[in-house]
Amino acid sequence: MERSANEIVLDVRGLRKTFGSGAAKVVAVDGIDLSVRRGETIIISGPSGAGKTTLITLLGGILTPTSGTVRIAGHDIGAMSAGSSAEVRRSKVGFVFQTFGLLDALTARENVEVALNLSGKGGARTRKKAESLLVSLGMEKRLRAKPPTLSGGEKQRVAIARALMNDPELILADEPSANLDSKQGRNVADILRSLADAYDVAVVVVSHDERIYDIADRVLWLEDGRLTAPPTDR
Amino acid sequence: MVPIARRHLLAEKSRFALAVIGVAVSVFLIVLIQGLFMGVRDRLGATVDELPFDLWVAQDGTYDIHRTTSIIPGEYAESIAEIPGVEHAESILGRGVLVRNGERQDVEFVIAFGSGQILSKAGATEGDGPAPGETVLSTEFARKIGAGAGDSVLIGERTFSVASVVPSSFSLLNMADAKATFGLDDSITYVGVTVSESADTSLVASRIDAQLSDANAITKSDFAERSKSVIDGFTPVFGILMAIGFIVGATIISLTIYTSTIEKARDFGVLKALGATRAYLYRIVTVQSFAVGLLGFALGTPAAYGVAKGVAEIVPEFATIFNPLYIAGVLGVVLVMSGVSSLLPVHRISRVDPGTVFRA
Repeated sequence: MERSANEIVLDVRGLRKTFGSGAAKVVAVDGIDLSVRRGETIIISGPSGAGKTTLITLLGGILTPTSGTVRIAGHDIGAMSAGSSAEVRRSKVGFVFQTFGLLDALTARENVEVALNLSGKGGARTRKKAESLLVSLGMEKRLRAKPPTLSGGEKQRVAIARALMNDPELILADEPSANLDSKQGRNVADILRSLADAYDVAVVVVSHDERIYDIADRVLWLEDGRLTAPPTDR
Repeated sequence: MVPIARRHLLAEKSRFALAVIGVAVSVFLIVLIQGLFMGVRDRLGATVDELPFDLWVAQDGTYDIHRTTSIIPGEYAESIAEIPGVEHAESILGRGVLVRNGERQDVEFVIAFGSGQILSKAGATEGDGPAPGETVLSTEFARKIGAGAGDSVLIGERTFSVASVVPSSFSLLNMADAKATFGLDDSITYVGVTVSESADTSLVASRIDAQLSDANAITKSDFAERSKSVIDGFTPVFGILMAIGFIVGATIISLTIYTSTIEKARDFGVLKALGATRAYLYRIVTVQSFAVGLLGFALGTPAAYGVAKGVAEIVPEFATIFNPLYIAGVLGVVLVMSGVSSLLPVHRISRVDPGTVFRA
């Protein structure tokens, strides 16, 4: 399906998530509206405990909202069954995790291939695509290396390659530079920035790292479960 | 497709090897117990199977060769021989009796044939039977009591010289000696009937039944099967032993895959977060489960066969029969075992929270 420039890929309306009930009720996300267009990179930042992780799991359809909608390329994943939202994640979303989320028993290339294996695709074409993505991210010499032998930056590049494997419309990156030194973190941030243009995707980065704010078209601040502009004294 | 199942399984090679060996032992026991049951069962009908008679004429009420005793008049063989369709009627005097060789003793089925010949399965005589005062012992029995050609043994209360030792399921006496030993002057225990090639066996049987008021003709297959059925009462016992083997095997597979699944819970969380279907995830653990099961089967089955054959060389009574159909049945049991074993790991995966991958 052709992708139109400036199309809204992620559309969030009145998103709310509460945990518990009665006196123990916690409002993690409190009525968020958010739109992210194709080719756009946004960063959602905020203090620890602000609900950033909860928000990103809601955006990815891993958590079900208490109320509100989350639409990815027109699909309301909040209203879907677990199976259907998993299908949307498989086909439209790429994830980059703070702790990389690589399978130690697989090589770098195999970790990338898995993203398409989940949709029943495999074989030589899948392998070639995985290799091509890794090469484009400077991993040509590490295709057969396993995660325990990779540096943090290399692991994150493998994770990014995996996130791109299914030609996603949206990439969700959760604290992608948190476990990296400043140089590796910078490198990863620059790669994420380039993805929006190079792959025509919407990129949402959850990060408290101010040093990478410059990669974003917009920086949003999450505090007390609500999105605002970042405080000016930061 | 990336072989995640294989990689997870081989991540801990020692655990994988131990699991396969454990299942192999379980399969070994199941196959061996089954083979032993079939072998012992077959041996119980060996005498009837071995002898070339199409019909066994026995006293009314005789069920099999072990549990019921038959005594019929000695002249029955002559009158049966006159019946149309009967090619040959052989007087048989056979029963279990204590045989002693010094301090060693055991019970043996001893037979005497009216014709005085050693009869074989093929129907042709193998030679002359024992002369008066002599006995021909079966190889296995001779080994049991430590007797050989030339030795003297006590059969009942009478002493006999061992003329030879032959591979057979029974030992032999001369008819006159057998009558004296068993105290049956004019009686025999069975008449073995060979039916003419052109005759119908069941028709000949009915003619014999019609002629004799206190005896009836039993087909070879029926008489053999009834004799083998002596052990059928032990089927529940063997069944329980095999069930224990099954439970042990299933437990080993289940534990192995379950511990592996727990160790790899984070991997499953990642895959769930990436959008893996339940079927994809469950397939990972079921493939592992079946791999361990099938490898265990591939090791355990030939091991059972090899051990059985090896032991039988030393202990001939360790009779086993490995029927391909039953082995296929064991394979079916292993497949069920593997499937059942994967249920716990599958349940564990269903509880993995994909959100955990977002936590540091």
